[in-house]
Order: sequence, then C-alpha cells, then structure tokens
Amino acid sequence: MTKRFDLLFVYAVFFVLFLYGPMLLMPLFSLNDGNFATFPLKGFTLRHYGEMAANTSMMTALKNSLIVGICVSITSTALALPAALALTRYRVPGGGAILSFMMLPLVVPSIVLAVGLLVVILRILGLPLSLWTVAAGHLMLCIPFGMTVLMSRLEGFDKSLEEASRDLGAGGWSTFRRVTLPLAAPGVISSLLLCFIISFDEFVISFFLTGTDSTLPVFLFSQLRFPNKLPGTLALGSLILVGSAVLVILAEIVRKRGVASDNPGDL
Amino acid sequence: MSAGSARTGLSLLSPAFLVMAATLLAPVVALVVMSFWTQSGFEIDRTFTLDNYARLGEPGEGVVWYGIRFPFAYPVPAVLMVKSLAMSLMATICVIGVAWPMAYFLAFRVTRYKAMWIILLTIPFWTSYLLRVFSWKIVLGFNGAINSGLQWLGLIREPLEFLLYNPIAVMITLAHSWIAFSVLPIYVSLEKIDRSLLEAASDLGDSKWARFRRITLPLSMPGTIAATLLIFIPTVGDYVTPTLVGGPGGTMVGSLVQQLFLKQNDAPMGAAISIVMMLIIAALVGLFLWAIGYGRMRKRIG
Amino acid sequence: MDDPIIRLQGIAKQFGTFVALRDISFDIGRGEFFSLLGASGCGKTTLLRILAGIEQPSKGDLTIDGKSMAGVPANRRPTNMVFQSYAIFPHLTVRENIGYGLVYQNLSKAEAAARTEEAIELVKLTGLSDRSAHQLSGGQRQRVALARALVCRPKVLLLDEPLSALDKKLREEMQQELRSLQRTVGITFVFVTHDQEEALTLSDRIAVMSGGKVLQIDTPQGLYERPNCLEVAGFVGTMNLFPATVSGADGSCAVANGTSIGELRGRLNDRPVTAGDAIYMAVRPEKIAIDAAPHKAGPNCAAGRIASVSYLGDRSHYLVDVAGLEEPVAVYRTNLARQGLPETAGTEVTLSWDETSAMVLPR
Repeated sequence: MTKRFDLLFVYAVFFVLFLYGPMLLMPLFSLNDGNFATFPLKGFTLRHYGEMAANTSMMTALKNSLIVGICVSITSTALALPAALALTRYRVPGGGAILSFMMLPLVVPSIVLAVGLLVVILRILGLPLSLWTVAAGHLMLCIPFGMTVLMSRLEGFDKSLEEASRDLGAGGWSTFRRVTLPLAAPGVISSLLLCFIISFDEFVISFFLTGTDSTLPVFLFSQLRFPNKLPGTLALGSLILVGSAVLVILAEIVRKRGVASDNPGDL
Repeated sequence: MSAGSARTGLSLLSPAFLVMAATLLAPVVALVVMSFWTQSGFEIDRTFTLDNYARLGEPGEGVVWYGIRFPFAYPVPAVLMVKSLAMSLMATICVIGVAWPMAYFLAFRVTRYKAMWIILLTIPFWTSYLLRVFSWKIVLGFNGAINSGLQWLGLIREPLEFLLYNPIAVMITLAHSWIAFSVLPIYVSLEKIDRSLLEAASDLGDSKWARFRRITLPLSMPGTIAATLLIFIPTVGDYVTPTLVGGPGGTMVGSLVQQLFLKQNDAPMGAAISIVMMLIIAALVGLFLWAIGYGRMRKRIG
Repeated sequence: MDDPIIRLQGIAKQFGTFVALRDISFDIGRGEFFSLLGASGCGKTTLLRILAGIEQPSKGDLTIDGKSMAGVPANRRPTNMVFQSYAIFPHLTVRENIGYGLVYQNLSKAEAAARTEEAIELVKLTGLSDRSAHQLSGGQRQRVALARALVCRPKVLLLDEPLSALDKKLREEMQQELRSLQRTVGITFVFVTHDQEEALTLSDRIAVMSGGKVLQIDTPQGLYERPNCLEVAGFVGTMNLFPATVSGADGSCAVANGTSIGELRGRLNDRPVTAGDAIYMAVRPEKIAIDAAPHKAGPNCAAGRIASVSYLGDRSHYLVDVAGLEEPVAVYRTNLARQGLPETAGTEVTLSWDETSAMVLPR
C-alpha cells in the first residue's frame, strides 16, 4: 500500500471522529452520575433514564411523535408510490415540471415552508394548531423523500419485466401485485422507515405548527433552556440517537438487498 | 404509449400532487399574498400595498456592520440577510472542502466494507438535527465538555467564554450538521467515473496529479455542485443553529422571520422578508450556475 | 396469402414527431419462421411490440388469427414474447417464472404443474427449476424466457433479438435449437434481428426494414440472389457495383455499355429497362473468377491489379483495383486448389463472371 492510502485513511478516521464525537457525548453524559454535562466523569448511573421515564409530559410528547411519525410515514409512502410509478412508467404530460415542483421542499429553507403553512392554517383555513397540522407539514416534507427512494428503486429494474408480465396474460393490477410490488418492496420499506425518521426528528415545522400537544423535538427544545432538566434530556436524546441509527441501518440493509442498485450511495 | 396511459399516469400522480399543492403551493402563494398586506396593531389590513417591500428598501441613517454600511431606515433585515449569506457561504465552503477528500477516499480507496462506510456516513444525516446542534452546545458551552475537560486537566482556570454564542460556533455547527449530507452526492459522481478513463489519461501521459486535475475533478463537478447547493440553500434560512449556539451575535435571518411571526406579531413583514430571502437565494444560485456554465456541463457529463 | 396468421394493413407508428413505422402491410403465414431484419432504429422492434400489444399503432389494422387486434391489450393476445433482456423475474424461481402466465389459462393446479414441467424439459432446464434468475447463465436465462412464453401455447411467438447477448459459439448452438424447436412446436415465430447471417440461417422468409419501411420480403435465397434495391443488396452480404448505362436488352438480359471496362451483361430480374437508363451492374464477390491469365475479349471481363489479400482459412478475400472504378472490386475465392492463384498485392489479374451471376439494380 502506498503512503497516500495511509494519509487518506487517517483523514477518513478523523472525519468520522469529528462526525460522531459531539453526538457520542450525549450518551456518555447521560450515563454519568452528575447533573451537568461536564468533565470529569463521576460514575456510572441509570438514574437519568429513570427520571426521563417518570417525566409524564416528556412521555406524552414521545407518544405524540410516534403517532405522527407512523401516520405520516404510511400516508406519504402510500401517496409517493403511485406518484413514483406514474413518473417512471407512464408518459405524463408535464411530468418533469411536476417532479421539480414536488422536490422543492428539499431546497426551500424549512422556515419559509413553516411560516407559509402557518399563514394558510391560521389565516385562510382558520383551523386551530394541533398534531394534525404538524402531520400535514410533515407530509409535505416526506413525500419528496419517499418519491426519491421509490423512483430510484423503480428505475433500478428493467421495464420489460412489467411488459413481460402483461405479455404473459397479467392485467394491470395483477402485474402490479405480482411483479412491480415485490420488486419495489425494499424501496417501500426504506421509504416507510426514512419518512418515519424525518417526521420523528423534524423540528422547525413542528415548532411553528404545534398546538397544545407538542411533539418530542419541540418539547426537547423547550427543555434545553433549563439546566436542571438537562440529565433527563440527555437520556432521551441518547435513546433517540440510538433508535434513529438502528432504523437507518435497517433501511439501508433492506434497500441494499435483492437486486443491486445501479446508483450506489444515493438516498 | 397511448393517450390512455397518460391518463392513468396522471390519475396515479394526482393524489400526491394535490397533497403537495395544498401543503406547498398554497403556503407559498399565501406567503406572497400576505407580503402585500400590512399589520396594524392586532389587525391585518388586507389592502394591496408594497409598503413592506418599500420599508425594506427605505433609505435612512442605517448602521455599519463589519465595516459595511447599510443605509436603511430599517437595516436589521438587510444586515441579517448579508450575515446569513456570508455565514452559510463560509460553512458551505468548509463543508465541501472537508467532505471532498472523504468522498474521494470512499470512491477510490475503499474496496471492502464499502456499504458499512456509507451507512456510517448516512446515520448522522438522519439523526435529529436538533440533537446534533444541541450536542455542540454540550461541547462548546460555558459548562461544556471542552471547558470542563480543560479545567479538569488543569490547562485553564476559568472557562473560555468565546467558544459558544458567536458566528464561529454557528459555522462549525452548521458545517458539522451538513457534512455527512455533502459526502454522498460527491461520492456518487466520483463513483460513476469510468475507471478506464483514468487509465486512458495515464496512458496518454498524465501524471497522477494531472490526471486528477484534468479528469477526476471535472467529472466530479455535477455532484460537487449539487452538494454545494443542497447545503447552501437550506442553511441560509436555518433557525435552529443560530438560536441554540449563536447567541445575540449569531442570529440569522431565519430567527428574524420567526420573531416577526411568533413574537413581534408582524406576519406580513415576516412574509415579505421570507419572499425576498427566497428570491435572493434563487438569484444567487442562478447566477452561480450561469457563471460556471452548469447547463453545458450537464449536457456533456450527464 | 390464404388464411395468414398475421395480417398487417397500413400499420404506422409515430412517437411525437418521430415516425417509427410508415405504412407497413404484409402477411405472415401459419407455421412460418419469419424474420424482421434491419439496422438498429429501423422500426423492427417497434413492429414486434405492436404485434405483442405493448405498443399501439398510430394507424392501420392488425389481424391475428382472423381477429382484429384493435383495442386488445397485450395480456389478451394469442402472442407471447421473448424479450431482448429476457426479462426473467428476479424474485421468482425458474419454475415460478415459467408458470407465470399459466395462472390466466383456467388450468387445474395439476395441469399447470404438468405443463410447466413439460416446458422445462423442452428447453433442457431439468434440475435447475428451483434456481433463481441471478443463478443462471445467459444461455439458461434465454431458455427460461423461451419456455415461459411457449408454455402459454401462443399462436405466435415473438422474439426480440434473443441471441444478441450470447457469445458467438453459444449463439450458433442456440440458432440450431431455435430452428428445431420451431419445427417441434409448429407455431409461427416472428424473429427480430440485426444480424443478416442469423436471419439467413433461421428464416423461411425475411422482411428487410429500413427507416420505418419494409424494403423487401423474400426467402433468404431470394433476398441474396434477387435484391430489389441497393439497400437490400448492401445489407444482405457484400455486393460489387459497376455503374453503367443501359444500351439494350437481350431477352431477360440487359446489355450495358459506357463503362470503363467494356460491355457488361446481367439479369434483369423482371425489372423493365430502356436504353439510356443509368444503372448498376451488381455482382456478388464469390461469383467473380480471378486468375492470372491475360485479359480476354468479351463482356463481363475486367483487368485489374490486386490491392490486398486477406487469408481466412477456408477462403481468401481479394480487393482488386480496376482502372476507372473508384472502389476496388471484392472477390471471394474458396481455397480449394491453390495452384496458380496470385497471392501478392500488385499482381496483374483478370476478373470475369457469368452473365447470370450479375444483375441490374437501379442507380
């Protein structure tokens, strides 16, 4: 191996350390027997996790986030799948423009989307803010991600598979059920998981659209100002980090299985 | 395909499109409309007027910020806008500079466990943005890990105050939050490069460095540019990072919009600032793409 | 043709502004091995996909087995297709792939299973039936694709360049197998290819296509010996072209003068000519005799100088420069007896051919 290899490898290791270092402090301090996130470490304890579980408003926020996340992930995947099919399998007039429009949330700062939604909900529709309004905002954010995942999956396999199915006697629905859906399944599963994570972690839109029931990130944000609430926050933050990591790994494994993707590393 | 299949396609597309129209198009339109209204006390005056925009451009005494003069009667938005652009530009440059070698390593050096490396870089992107930003507060804070660690080691007596609540902290945090996201597009464009092109370049006499400059770098441009835009655009309007680690000196235009909507109760002005922000970002992006000849590049590299 | 299996009448197809097919009309007989031959982009695959019902024609009528196919979708047609990519379902085993279409044929489970096994045997895949698609070689995938289509007992089997992904040796083997398979099952095969040799080997009849039109439909021999235009002559085999002007006709034979190599005679192939017409006299390279003897007087005879010789084992290819011709004349000669053959470039030679070996093509 050349010297250049070593240098780049060292660089990559530092890169990963930089990436993970700050985040790993959270689980570290959450297990530390102290009330502040400071060195030196004082000793191992699980009491912060106990405090977290005893905090009912935190648990309510967690429950709210789970409900919103699950509903949003299912709805947005259910909407994104037919849309992805339409754009990859049918000649839709103006399809390119429609796709660019639907991908806008990926590039528009979320604060703009958030205040825009706020105006529509409060001033035009006159609806009260609730978990429903949060879910609507998340839906807008998740559909483009779901479509990206599903379209790259649908483009990853040969269109003649579906033609072959039609040719062998299967109708439109039968072809979808017997060929398209099984082949798109890894994409559907990773879309469900990723949409859940996006919704579960989303802060800015939730912050603007949340009513009396807050989601977990909004609750956490309100806690971050109070130093005496820090340990419980660290415990919950650590659990969320671990949970998200597990879901991402699952999503990646599912997506990599089956027919290998032609475009490595895309989202 | 026949006309019937276009109909089927449209009917498959329409549910998702209608939801997006209601949750994306309607808010943007509403924002535009609202920016032409004005706030008077607790009421909103719905007569069409350009007052909000006029106020943003109204000349006045102004302020001087970092040696730049802002001669406006209401200079806060302009100052924050320029500051936001400068900070995200710096953060973007740092991110691309740091992420590029990593993407190169991933594409050209990693042969085994490639999937593992990719997952390792993907996880941080998907884990809560709020928590990532918050973890920097733990690192840099007055009672944070660096200060308490250095004190513990006896290197300093008093906590260093300059770590948190300043533009540098905002930039470091922004860079950290977006860095994983930028590796992947660059990596994809590097991975797509046909290895025989590199062999051909060597065969035609290029040294390793010349080959990198003449083949690898130009062919990676689509991914690098995509990464640049994907980081620059959202960070300009970021709200979480400046609020948590920026302090009074680190506020950005997103914080102003938030305040106008939720605290100062001047939603029309907030809407106008949002619109102007989007227009400025779009203009800068367009200018950037035009300046580097992105259209031609796309056609050639694909 | 009486009672054809396929009848195409005025079929045309447009994609946006691009005209893929224009006014195609012909019949395909029952039990025929019929090939669509042409370079890529000539419309042959589009025509096949119209037969399958995957594409709809913009104009014209298609009848299969006496029934109009207007508005009949792919899944209700008595045709099945072998795709160029084979389109083997990657999430199913070989057996599940082959049994895929039988679900729609109102068979009992036992009947369907029996037919699947029969088809597996027919294409010699016994023992591989529980494998999945990615465990198969190219040749095996092709057999699965064939079995999967044939097991549905179509009236017409459509094949889209099924051999193009195979290497040369396997391709030649599969050609033989395809031909014998077609005789065994006795149904009509419509075969798309860009490989003229493959088309000549396999087909009963061939339609040569170019620019969305059918240029000529004929037996392999007919296409080779009596091409109706320059394009067909050039696409099927190699052709030497001598520009000439008609001076008269002598029965079924045209006489042409005004060339740099004297009088030329060739078959008219029922093409009427009048004196003064500008034509090509066309001669296949293997029909030209090459020898070292000096130039004789008389028609269809030219003196030249060897420009290059390629030795191919069973035969040699010569390129001969003839004074007054822009292109060198190609001559193929089997290496039966080698004595007296000029072998080096620059040798003076005489070319001659029979008047029945030459033909008139419009210029």
